[in-house]
Amino acid sequence: MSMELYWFWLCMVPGIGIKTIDKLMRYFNTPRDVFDADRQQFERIQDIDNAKKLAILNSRDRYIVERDYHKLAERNIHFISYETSGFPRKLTHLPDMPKGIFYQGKLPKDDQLSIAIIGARNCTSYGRELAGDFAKQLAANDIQVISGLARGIDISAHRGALLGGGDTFGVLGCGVNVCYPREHIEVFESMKSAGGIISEYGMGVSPDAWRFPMRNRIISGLSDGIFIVEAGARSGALITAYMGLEQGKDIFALPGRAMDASSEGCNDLIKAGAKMVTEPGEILEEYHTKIKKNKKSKIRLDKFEKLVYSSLCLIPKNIDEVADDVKLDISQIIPVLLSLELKGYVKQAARNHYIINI
Amino acid sequence: MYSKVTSGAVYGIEGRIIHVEADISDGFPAYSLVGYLASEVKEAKERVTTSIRNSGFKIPSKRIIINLSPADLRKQGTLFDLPIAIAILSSLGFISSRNLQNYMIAGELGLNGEVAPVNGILPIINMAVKHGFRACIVPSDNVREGMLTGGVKVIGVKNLTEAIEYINGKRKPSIQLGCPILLPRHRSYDVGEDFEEIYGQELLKRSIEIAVAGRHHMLIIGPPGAGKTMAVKRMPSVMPVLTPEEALEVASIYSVNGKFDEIWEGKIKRPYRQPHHSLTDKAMVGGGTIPKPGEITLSHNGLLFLDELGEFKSKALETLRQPLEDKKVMISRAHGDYVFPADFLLVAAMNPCKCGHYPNKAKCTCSPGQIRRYLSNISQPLLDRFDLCTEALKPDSKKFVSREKGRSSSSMRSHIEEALRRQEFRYKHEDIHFNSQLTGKDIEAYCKPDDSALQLLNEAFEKMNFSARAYYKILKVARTIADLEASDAIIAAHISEAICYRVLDHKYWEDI
Repeated sequence: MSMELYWFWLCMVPGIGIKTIDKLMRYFNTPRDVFDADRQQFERIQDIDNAKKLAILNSRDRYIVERDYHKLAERNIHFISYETSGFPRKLTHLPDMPKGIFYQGKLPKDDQLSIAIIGARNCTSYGRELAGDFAKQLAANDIQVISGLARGIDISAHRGALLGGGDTFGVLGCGVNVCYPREHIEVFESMKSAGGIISEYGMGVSPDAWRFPMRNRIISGLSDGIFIVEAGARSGALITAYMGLEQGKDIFALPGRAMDASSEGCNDLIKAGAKMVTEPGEILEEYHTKIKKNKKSKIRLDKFEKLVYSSLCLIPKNIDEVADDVKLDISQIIPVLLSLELKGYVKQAARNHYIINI
Repeated sequence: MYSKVTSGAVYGIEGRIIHVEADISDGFPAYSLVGYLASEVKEAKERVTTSIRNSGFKIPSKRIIINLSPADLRKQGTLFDLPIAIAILSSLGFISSRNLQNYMIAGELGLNGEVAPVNGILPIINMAVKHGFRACIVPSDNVREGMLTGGVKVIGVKNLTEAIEYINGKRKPSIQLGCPILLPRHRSYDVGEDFEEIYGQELLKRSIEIAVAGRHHMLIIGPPGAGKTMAVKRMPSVMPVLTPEEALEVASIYSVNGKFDEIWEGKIKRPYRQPHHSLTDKAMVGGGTIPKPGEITLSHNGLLFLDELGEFKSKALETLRQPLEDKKVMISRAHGDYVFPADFLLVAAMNPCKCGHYPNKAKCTCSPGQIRRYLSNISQPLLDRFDLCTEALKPDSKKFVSREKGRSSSSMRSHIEEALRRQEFRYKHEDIHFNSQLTGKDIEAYCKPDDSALQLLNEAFEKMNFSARAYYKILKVARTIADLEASDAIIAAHISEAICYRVLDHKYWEDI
């Protein structure tokens, strides 16, 4: 068995995490030594409890390890240990670096800029639209967009990046072949060919809540800068931001309105020194690159369309409210909104609730 | 001596002739009641003898046999008390059996000889008319509903003595009426609670107008306190009064269920049913050994309002699917099938999520998963049966404070009247009455949008990614909108309005 396989085995032992592996490495030099060690050698180890020792001892079956490894290959899932070239160098700086990671598709390139776009799952359409727009523009400028494939901001960032035609990487808190939440399967599948799916957990590991803060360190570890789009005061995205801060990454945040609970975390980050950004170029100037200007087509709208369009923003407005704002009849508003929508200037955030399309 | 009295019973909502035979002969004294009887009919034995005795007659100690025929039909209900008593008294010679032939008799007896009202009088009298009876003797409290049929003399009696005296020709009945109540022949409207009491909510009022005009099933989504229930309560005020044929159907159904008084207000009201969401599937479609009509049949020719749709048991909701298509429901039992009419306008209201405030993120406290699950209680096939879906918003405080009156029921009525007239004319050679009943190629034939409207619809179909089913619903609704505007052509404005009420699908929540 190659050393890669030994690492694969050690990373797959149930109940064994980074800490235990680190402890084992203090007693043994390589995972092969762990595999070949006899019981007496294990008994001498003091700081690992017996259940874990037993789990390690019982899983030492060459046949099963090789079989599992082949299963991965059959499903186009790759395993890479930190000792192999190609392992993302940025991750090796983490104090609790995963010893190996699973991935589908590609891994982020070390020499290409990566930006994590993260935020709350329960987001507003303001956050959702801007996350998508930032991701799209960054991806169009060959920036790798990294996020966590969760609901809300994460998935909008991935979707945006796919639209921008760039590579986007999703770091999972569950097995690398597990699409959670399930409704993201379309994005999940398309990311295999436009970026990749990354996880430190092997096949079939269920999405348990405690794994998600763990995967956040990989999101921040893989990226050069972290952009928090929308986060409440106690959002999980803030954990990633603080991890990134410890890892020495740049922190960017999108400002929200004062008193807006869904942006409280972002505003706090800005107060604490995160860079406030309102357009993608401001992230890039930190890395001395300029955003390619895409030619914006001139908007041609008639009088009513202009009136209605100007009353809309990123906060969803119902047709009734629009009608009230512009002082027109509902029957006059509806065709205008529909024509704006068909032209692509506005869209429906929820049924009959309109926002501008950025 | 043998005697025979004709009575009737209700099976489903149809009446059937039941003969009550009595034979009193010498022999070992006995008293038995036969003919496949439910327990309330068996108990008639005691009620009848006591009330005969308390009416001043003596029953000799003889062999009394009573048979209810046809003997293979299960008999339910208390309406056989009076015919049994009459049959016994006739066998004893107190009533001449020759006089009995012309009457159909039904009623419940009290121990003191008083006649109490029974359920299902109207279908029984209908049946009596069909069989050529000239007079019906019914409890006096049931006379009002019995009169609706016409073509038969309906005699109300208060007690057993009155009935006997009447049959023997010794007395004029206390109530005797024979002509049907005149029902209006022209279209008129009830004036009740008015829509102008609702401030704002123009979108909701407009869609109610469309729903009523084209009989489109409607789903209303909105936060608590938006006035969804208030608006639906006012819908009968813009619906035309029942035609005589409709009224008779409705009256029969309510008669069977013993709810005639609920629907009677000097004339037959348009049914408005708002069952609580704890409703079972049996209560929804009808059930029982001999099935009784459920909520959907009680709403026949009227309005079924399911408030808090999301809270209904999904089993009860799914039973609606087939009756919504067929306009009737068939309930099968070992002893036969029962078909109940169920042609109703379905209106449902629900909150967009558990807390009710989505998509207002500032107020909504639900997690994305919760919001997603909330709608998934209602299956897509059921959602597809709604033609119109509309949002109700929290009332605008400015409009509320200033009491700025919106559209009134009378202005809505005039539009609806126009649309009804146009549909009547358009479908006079078809067996449908409303735009919502159009299917398949009829949609293509009657709902032709003009060129620019068609282009708009096709463009929207591609870009907004709605289903083919939604496409046809938009066409039907656009037809009704055009009718409301007194326009023969369906123009782009009608299509765009119809798109805004398009059928709800789970994509509503897609972006979460």
